Amino acid sequence: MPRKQRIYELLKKGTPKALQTNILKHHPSDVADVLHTLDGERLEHVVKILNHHVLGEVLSHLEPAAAERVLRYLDDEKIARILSVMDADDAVDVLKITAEPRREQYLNLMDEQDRDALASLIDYREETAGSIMTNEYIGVKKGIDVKDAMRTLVGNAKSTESIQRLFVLDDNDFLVGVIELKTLIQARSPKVIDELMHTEVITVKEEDSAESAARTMQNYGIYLLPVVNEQNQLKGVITMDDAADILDEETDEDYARFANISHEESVRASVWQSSLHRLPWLVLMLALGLLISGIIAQFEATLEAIVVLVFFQPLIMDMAGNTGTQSLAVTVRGISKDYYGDKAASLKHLLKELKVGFYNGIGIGVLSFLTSFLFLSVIGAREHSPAIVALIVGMSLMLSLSLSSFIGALIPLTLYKLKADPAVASGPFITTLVDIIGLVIYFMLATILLLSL
Amino acid sequence: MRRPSLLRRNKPREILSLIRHEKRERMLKSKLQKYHAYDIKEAMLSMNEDERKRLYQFVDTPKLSSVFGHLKDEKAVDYLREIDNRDAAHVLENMEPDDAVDILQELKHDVAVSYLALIEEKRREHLRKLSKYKNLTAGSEMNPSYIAFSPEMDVKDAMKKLVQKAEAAEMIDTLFVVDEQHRLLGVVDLRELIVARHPKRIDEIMDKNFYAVHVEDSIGEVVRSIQKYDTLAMPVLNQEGTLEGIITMYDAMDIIEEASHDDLAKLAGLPTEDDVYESAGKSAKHRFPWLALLLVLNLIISSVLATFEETIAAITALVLFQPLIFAMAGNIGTQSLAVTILRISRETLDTRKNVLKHLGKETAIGAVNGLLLGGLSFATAWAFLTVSPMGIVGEGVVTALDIGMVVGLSVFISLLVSAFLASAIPVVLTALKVDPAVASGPFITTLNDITALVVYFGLATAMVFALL
Repeated sequence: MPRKQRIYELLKKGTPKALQTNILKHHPSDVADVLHTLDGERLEHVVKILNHHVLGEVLSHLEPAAAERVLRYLDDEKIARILSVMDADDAVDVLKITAEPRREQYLNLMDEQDRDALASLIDYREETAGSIMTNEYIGVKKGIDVKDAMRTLVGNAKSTESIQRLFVLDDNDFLVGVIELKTLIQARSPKVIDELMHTEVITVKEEDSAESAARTMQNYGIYLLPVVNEQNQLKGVITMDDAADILDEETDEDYARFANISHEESVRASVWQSSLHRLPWLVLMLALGLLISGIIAQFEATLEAIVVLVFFQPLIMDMAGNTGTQSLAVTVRGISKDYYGDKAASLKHLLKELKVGFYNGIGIGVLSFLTSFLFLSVIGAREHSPAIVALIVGMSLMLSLSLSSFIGALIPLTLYKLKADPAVASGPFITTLVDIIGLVIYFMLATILLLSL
Repeated sequence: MRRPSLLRRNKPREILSLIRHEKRERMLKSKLQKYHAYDIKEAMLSMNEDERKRLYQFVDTPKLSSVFGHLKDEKAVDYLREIDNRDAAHVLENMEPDDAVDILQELKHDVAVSYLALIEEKRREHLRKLSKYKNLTAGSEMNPSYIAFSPEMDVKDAMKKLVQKAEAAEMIDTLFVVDEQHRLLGVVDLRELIVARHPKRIDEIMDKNFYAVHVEDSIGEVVRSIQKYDTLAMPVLNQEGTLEGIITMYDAMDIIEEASHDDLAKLAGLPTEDDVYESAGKSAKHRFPWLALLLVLNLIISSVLATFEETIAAITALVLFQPLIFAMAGNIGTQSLAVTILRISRETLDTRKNVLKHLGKETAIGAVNGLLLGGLSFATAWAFLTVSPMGIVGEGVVTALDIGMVVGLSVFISLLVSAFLASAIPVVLTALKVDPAVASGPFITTLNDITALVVYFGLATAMVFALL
């Protein structure tokens, strides 16, 4: 990577003068990547040379903990200046992990406006829309002329992260409308801005989740989303780059949930840390597995008498488990999209999943009857007729698929109606439950058809 | 996932009820026009054909185009058929060109040609040009609606040009400076232009130190640079450095979302699309192939089991713990698999060194957890057989302790092997240019199951031989 190599050379060997001027040629994001690989001594040297503008830009691209490490080499005054330069939401992330006496000190060294801006953002809880917003936006008063709005824009453009939209406020800071920059630059004075704004503004509340804010931006193609409080006063805006980061984190969480790993596991975690993160789920699988052992033990006599049954046991469990998971995933996604708001819709969905399971049950049942019959004939059937064993396999699959599909929908819907989070309790439990149902059907049928007859 | 607030308006449902119940046509038209294309698209998914036809009739073409832009390509193709040719062509013509091309490529050739013939000439040529780029390259996803200036232009004239073109442009926050051959010279941040004062040339305020991608760059790479550099509009250049189009941060966000969701769904063998509105028969058809595949793969497992028939007949108790070993080996495999797929999609496994380090780490995790769970399984299996009232172990020479040991050892080995296979196979598949998300799931599970079986019953067979 020649680009990073060049930055590395510059940071490692550059004279103070070269550093100050040449660093500007590189993107802060690249500089951030290299900066944080430097050893302590060199890092100290470099950050003492670079000015607060450059450092502010660069540190906005680092994880808060890494940024905090860099800041430690600097005196309080410079730190305060850097934090003022950084995007407000990034600066707040750093301040949040800074211990109290120092945090207060930095804030005291800033000018009043910056201090108030940061102080008002610090208290938002993690993962809320408030915690990812910035209060650098351009607000204009209702009723002013487009010319004055343009003047406000020109005056604040440089210090504002995004200027795609201007927010129109009344005297109490209530958000009354939004003007797209495109519209504003085309307008001619005299004209009151109220004529140009839309009043049907899509907003989120401070306490809404960061994820739902990001999804709103993605779905509606909004580059700059206003965040308001309960009274509809504008508190800040969310920019699209932050929304994209949130969606990325959500993807990580989705994968983690799918894999049953706690989502804090990072690429840099040690083997021990990673092992520990993954252990709880494995222990849970062990416990659930033992439950299944207990069920199988009930059918010991049948198994001892008909060993061939064992050959198809993984098949029965696998199919039931997967059908259950499929319908679970569809249902959970439907719930998250609010498809099953009323009773009729829920019942319709349950009925549908039952039907889907039944159709596939017939298909797979017939197919498995044929294949297992073939299989048993090839390996040479023992004391029991291959046709009857194959019939047991086929019928069990037909029944257990219908039931699994139904249960995969029923359990998350029930949890949802009980106001519990359907995604939490479902995964391995549903699999185990449908596994057990599949096994019981299988062994019961076998006991009835082979042993009793 | 959070519970959707009950107080929030459900706009798709409002649209649905408008279509179903609003009889006054003018009212319907003006009300529909106020909804965002995304909400209309969501509503459309729960409509039947007649309802959709009513919708087409009362939504104007620009909005309908935008609605179609939000649909998945396959759905868009289905729905386009419900509109007569001329109107369908209009919809395509008004769409963002990159979205239109995606749909055209999905259509049957003769249908695509018949639509193209009805599209205005300049737009048609443009679509043709875009459709030459391979899928999943920067060229296939770029948008031509950007604003460019020449370097000697005065900032005042540039502002005038911006005002004229702003409406048609996808985004105006980043503006471009090109020479006479349309080669990209620099980019201008709108904020700079707004605060600049006449007289000043555009090239005085442009940034020559810009990032750009090439038409043939993979879309994954492009998306990552956009995210890394927080670029609102990434310029796309051809071989000669000519500006061909832009990819916006919004496009990038869409691409990431679609890719990661599809990957995850494929991994789990789930439908990649919401099938809420499909009939049960259709949904069943979509989910069937995966189940049929599992059936076939499971026959392999059955065959492996059949070879151990004698051991099973001798010690039936072995069967009790087989699901437990499967469950744990399967789970540790899924864990490694998901971590690996995510790293592949983020392209952090780019060098041989990184790959080896990753494999080493996953295998080590398998060893650590294998050791812990092996110990735990040994203890619990032993206890289970000892307290079990039914005398499952029987009167033979094989004791509960023996079986416990076989279970524990098998768990250790299976977990170790599973973690390794589940991280190695996707890497190998990627090297072979097979989509690891599609191919990995069922095969790794089956392979893990077979490994676990062979280890478990193999050890048991050895034990029986040793004891008898």
